[in-house]
Amino acid sequence: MTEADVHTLTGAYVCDALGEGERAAFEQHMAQCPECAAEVRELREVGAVMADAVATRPPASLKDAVDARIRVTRQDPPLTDPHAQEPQAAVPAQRGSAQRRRAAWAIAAVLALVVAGLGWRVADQQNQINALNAQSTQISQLLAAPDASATRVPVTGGGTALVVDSRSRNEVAVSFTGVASAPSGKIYQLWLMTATGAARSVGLMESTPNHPLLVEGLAGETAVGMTIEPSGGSVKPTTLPVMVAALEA
Amino acid sequence: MTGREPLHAASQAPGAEPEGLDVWLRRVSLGRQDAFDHVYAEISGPVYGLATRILRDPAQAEEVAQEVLVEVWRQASRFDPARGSARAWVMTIAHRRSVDRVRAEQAAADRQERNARETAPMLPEEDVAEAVEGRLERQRLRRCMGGLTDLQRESVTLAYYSGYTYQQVAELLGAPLGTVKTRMRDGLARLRDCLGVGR
Repeated sequence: MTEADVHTLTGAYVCDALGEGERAAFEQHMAQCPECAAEVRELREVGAVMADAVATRPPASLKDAVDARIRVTRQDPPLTDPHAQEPQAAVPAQRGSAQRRRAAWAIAAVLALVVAGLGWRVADQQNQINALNAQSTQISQLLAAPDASATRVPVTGGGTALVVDSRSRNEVAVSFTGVASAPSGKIYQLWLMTATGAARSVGLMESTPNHPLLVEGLAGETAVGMTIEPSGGSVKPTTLPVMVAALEA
Repeated sequence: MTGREPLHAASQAPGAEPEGLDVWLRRVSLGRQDAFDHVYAEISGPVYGLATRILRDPAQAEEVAQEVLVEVWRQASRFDPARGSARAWVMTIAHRRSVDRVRAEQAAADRQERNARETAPMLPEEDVAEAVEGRLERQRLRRCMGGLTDLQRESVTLAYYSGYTYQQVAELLGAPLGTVKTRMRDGLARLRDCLGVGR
């Protein structure tokens, strides 16, 4: 895909009209393309008006359900900039926030790639290499965290998963060995799970990749698990997990 | 909906809304449930309406709306006013979640696709009766939609309101993929200019 081709995807991206692989590829491109990011930001305001135009009063049961959920839902901490300590005293504040934004975009792009799972078959190898490099740096930092802790668990059907997590970084990396591809028409779905059994999807993949997957933004979840789901994934796990690993509290 | 910002607020610089949704979201990020009540009053209508529009099934729409609203609570600290309005941030989450659910359903069974295919080429006018708020936005949007070419309007509405991929839109409209991608982009850009948002 050429630069120009990717750039024309802003509209389709804002409409969520890209397939998973293209979405991830576009997000990665956007991390290096301030014009694309600016255009996406503008076009999203149109989406907000389109959503307003179909506003419908929700049933009262929605408010009750949401209130019940938020009472037991821990909020995510703000994203912090790993470079925030670098000397910037002489630089106008404006620039600091621009750098922070760029860092946030880069992190978001890496996360999107990882989280979108590796159903990603874009022929653009350079993008893939860049993404893996960025990710491997982050994984090195995770492994070096003082509270990093590792555990190896079996995967039903053969193979193992090595799980490394760090509370201080709110990250977990999962690396698979000897795990077969998901059955035809099915997909592996990775979840973060809370003590109460709530699960949050963090990625889909047809086969486990030969490099570690990194998941950021842990919000107090106590386990990572993987289920086999219909291709396209599920909103909640619908089968017994083939792999579960407790995260260090 | 009480306390709704006037539409022109959206044309101000991002983050400039006085006591706007962004201010309330910051309060939510501090764990204030009373602030969340305010945010809920502002956004639950559009979130639920959009989910209903895309999913068609009220029960599923309610589930997805619940997920979105809990995510707004959970992720409030991640909202960055430099990257757009609070409303756009919320609706981006709502749209993504609704579309992801549609795609998951499609993969499980083609039922949703058939339902949507039967009713897909709809313009927002058809939801007027069921919508309860936002009359001004609807009128403006309708007028601006009228300024698009048929292909722009159909590409944008099929993708945004029916949750189709651009490949599916191209198939439905019998138009080349590249054309549909481009029409989504220039259609949205023309709506942006007509609505006076996002600049």
